[in-house]
Amino acid sequence: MVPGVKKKIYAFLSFGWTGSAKHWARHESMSLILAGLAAPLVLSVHTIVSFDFATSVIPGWHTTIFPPYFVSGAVFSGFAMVLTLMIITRKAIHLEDYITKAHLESMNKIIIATGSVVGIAYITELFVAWYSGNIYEQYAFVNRAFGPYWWAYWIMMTCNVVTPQLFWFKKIRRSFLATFIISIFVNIGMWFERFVIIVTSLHRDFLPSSWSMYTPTWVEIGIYIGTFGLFFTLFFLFIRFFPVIAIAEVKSVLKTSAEKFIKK
Amino acid sequence: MKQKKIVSGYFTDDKDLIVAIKKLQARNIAIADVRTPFPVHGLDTVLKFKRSRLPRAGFIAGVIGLCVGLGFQAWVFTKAWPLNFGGKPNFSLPSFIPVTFELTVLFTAFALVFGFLIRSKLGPGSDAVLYDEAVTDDHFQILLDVKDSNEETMLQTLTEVGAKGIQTHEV
Repeated sequence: MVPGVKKKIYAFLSFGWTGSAKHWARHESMSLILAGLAAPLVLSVHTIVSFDFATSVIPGWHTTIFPPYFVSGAVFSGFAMVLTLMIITRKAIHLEDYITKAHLESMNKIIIATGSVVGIAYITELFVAWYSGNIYEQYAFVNRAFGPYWWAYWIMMTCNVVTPQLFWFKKIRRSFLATFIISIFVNIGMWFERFVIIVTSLHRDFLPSSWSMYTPTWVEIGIYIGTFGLFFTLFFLFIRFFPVIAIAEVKSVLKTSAEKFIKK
Repeated sequence: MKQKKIVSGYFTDDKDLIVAIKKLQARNIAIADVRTPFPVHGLDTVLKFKRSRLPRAGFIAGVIGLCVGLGFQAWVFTKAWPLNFGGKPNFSLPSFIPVTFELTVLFTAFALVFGFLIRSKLGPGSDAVLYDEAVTDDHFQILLDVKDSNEETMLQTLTEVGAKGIQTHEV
């Protein structure tokens, strides 16, 4: 690209930012509130996504544990996906000094915590299905684990509940290769969680005449591949044209100049 | 258009910047602007900034969002189009919570972001002048407006406090 054009585009996108102290002060106070709003928003968004299932009357969906289960599942799969992308990006554009083993370890601790919450949710679902005394609910869960889609259920269980437990070992938690492999397992596991929730609950109905097996159409496969294409196009464009680490944010948390941090 | 004359000097460390600002203030030289590559903590107290009113604007917008969200749902479900959902009450607060919360967040976020951009005169097509491009890299710049005091004193004081690259700009 012509250098002049590139500069014009970046100048336009920088909105006339001059780094004025007053602007930074306003920016800081705004960021704090936006961050405070974003955290409960995560809870709200995933709770409502789970309501899409939970407010229906389909056995396997009509569950009160869905909101917390989806929230922890979202944090769990989100961290795994970020780790997958981050580990490759870190190597590819040499961010070894910025993203360290300490960051990796902290993220992996979140993965164990949320992965275990998800594991408890799976077991609670089974318990509640049994305890409810409702035969349709009980059938839905027995069918999930031992019916025609048993393989999907056990892939989900292994990838989401068993593999993240390896992070209890410090060596594994601090290894980029091991983390990368386990994060892929978590991605697969969380994909199968959606598959299990949707497909195994729908392929059986109250009337056996509506029973069937699921086969994706070419449109469904196309949309699935398309989402990958869209995501990676935007992701690659972002890392190619924009700074991947906001250095101003990294610098500001170092607190080099605040009165109380200056060594007297 | 009125000509504006600006004297600038920069530092390469934020600690030096704060020390220099204090010295300038002790000599009663008004500081027009300070430009830094990242938010320097403690700078706002040194420059005696008033607390930003953005949080207050955000809160008011949030309250408006809450009222709009709750009020609109209440109006729709009780007056405009009451529907019978299995004999449940038309005014059902628990089911209004998600939409109310999200509109509160939306209004607050819009008020904060647009309030910030408008108040700081930022946005596409902004005519802000960057006297030194390195303020987005490693320069901590002090700007002094010549109309505030004598230009000679300014240049001299900036040299005394250890500023580098002292320059005069006319805009």
